[in-house]
Amino acid sequence: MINIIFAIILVIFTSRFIDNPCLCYGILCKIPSWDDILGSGYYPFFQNFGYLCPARTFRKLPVLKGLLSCAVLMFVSNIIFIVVYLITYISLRDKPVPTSPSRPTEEPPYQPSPIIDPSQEYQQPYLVENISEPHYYSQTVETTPTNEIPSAPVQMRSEKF
Amino acid sequence: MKKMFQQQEGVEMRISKSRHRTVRDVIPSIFIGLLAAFQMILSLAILGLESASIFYDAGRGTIYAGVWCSIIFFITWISMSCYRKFYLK
Repeated sequence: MINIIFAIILVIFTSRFIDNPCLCYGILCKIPSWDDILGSGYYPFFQNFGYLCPARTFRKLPVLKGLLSCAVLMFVSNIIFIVVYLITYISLRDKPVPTSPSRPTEEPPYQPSPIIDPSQEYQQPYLVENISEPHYYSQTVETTPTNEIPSAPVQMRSEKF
Repeated sequence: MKKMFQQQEGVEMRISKSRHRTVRDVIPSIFIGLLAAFQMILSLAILGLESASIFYDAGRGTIYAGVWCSIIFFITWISMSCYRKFYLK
């Protein structure tokens, strides 16, 4: 926001200087130009308080126009940023917020395995699902019944939370 | 148990994302980056043109506005770049 204010100030001053390149403010009017110093029309500061506007000053007119265009572009870019931000903010605010989001469907609900018990010392080396329920990979379960699975004595690591 | 906690964390993360969708999730960072780069070029151009204006005549037709305004412009584009770098996703 402060960038916009300074861009407006720059635009106002530059447009005033484009209208009249010899315009000056306060003590700046007492600064002699390079033509006054190097040319023949220079007098010491205490003798001549008002300097004329030399031809060199008018050569800055295209520079001032470029400065004005840059200031306008700066102003426009800030306006674009603020407008985009406000539009996004308002569009997000108007959208209804989901109060009770549904559980994601891609993952099945967790069912703790009844076989693994961390308190026992010897466990099955792999997870065996609940056989009574319809299984996801029923073919492998049917071909290899659970009572034929060799149960190797594997010490389970205790889970730390 | 660990798996259950991970599942719960995943569900909570999804819920919190759907509830707290802010501007930073929507505004593309490339847009902010382009805007910051554009403002950087403009700030440098303003500083250069003001220097040229002072070179032609230091007293008339200038109030050194390009110099002190470009300080603010520099702060703005640097802060915009930081906003894009550290805040936007």
